[in-house]
Amino acid sequence: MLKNILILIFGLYILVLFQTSLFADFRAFGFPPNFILVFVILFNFFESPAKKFGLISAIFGGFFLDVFSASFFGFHILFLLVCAVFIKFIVRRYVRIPGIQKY
Amino acid sequence: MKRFSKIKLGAIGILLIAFFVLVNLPGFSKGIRNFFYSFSSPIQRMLLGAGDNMSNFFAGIFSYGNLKKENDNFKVQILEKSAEISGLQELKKENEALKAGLVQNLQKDFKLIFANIVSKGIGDFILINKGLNDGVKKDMPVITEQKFLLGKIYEVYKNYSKVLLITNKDSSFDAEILSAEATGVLKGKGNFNAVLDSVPQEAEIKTGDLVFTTSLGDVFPEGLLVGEIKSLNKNDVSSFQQAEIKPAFDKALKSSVFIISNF
Repeated sequence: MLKNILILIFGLYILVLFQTSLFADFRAFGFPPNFILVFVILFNFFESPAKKFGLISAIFGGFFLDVFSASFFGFHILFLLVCAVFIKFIVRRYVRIPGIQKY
Repeated sequence: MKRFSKIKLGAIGILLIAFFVLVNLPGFSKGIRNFFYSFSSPIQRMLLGAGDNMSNFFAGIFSYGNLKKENDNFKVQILEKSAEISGLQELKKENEALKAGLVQNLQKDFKLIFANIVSKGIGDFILINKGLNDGVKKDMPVITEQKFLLGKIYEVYKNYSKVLLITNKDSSFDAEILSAEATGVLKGKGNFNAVLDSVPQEAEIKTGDLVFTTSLGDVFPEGLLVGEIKSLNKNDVSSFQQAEIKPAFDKALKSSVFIISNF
């Protein structure tokens, strides 16, 4: 459990480094790519709603985005956490993905 | 059970609020950021260089369709240009002398602190490798080697500083169009776009006009090039006109920067 969380945190840190340096000049439809946001959305969508890794990824992903952005601490954490909870709620209530254990 | 989950939720809420208040205390948040920047900056600088090469590579791939046409044009141009080369040798020497003098000239006008770009942050700002220990203070103007305005210091850490680019949505300052003798308020729109607002309707401005800083408000020194007018937005009903601005600085932000510590 702890090992998986540490791997997740390290992966998110690498993603945010890539976002702010290697892919800083890239533009998708005129906007810079936000890997953390994409990762958190996909992770929460495909993760079993009973598991909590998606929420942890939102908290730490948001934390790293806050570190490397100019906004106040907590802005991205709250934003990603709301996204994660919303996706989990939608998936739990309305979406059935074959092969993914729900409860 | 229901009561227990309500208490649990309340406790989580209070803990979250306490956490956000704590990490947003000026000393604490700056400490956290400086800590992360100190070990991330070498990796980021390395990746930033690789990113520049990669974007150049992809730009080459996407323009493949035009390559043959461009090749034919270049063949003609090579013949024309080879004649000019001999004459340009003299100019090259002169140019090198001017380049060497450029930094000296900048230092004559202002007191400068040299800095390297560490990373390009989320939103229109950059991180540079000079901070409190180097004498950097909040709101100091930042310019490029070519004396183009880049932005101002937004947040200072022990060894690093965040520069708010003029295209950031939080950026706003007075600017003037010298050719039309008109002033306006330059506001950032984000994503390397800016707009010159509140320009009097009677001012005769046109596309390509250059925009400079003014001494109004004491935000920036006078006469720094900000950018040029890209397009105009005139509305007969309004008493002011608006112009889209193309920033003068290179969006790739590959070069080093200078912080003006005294003007």
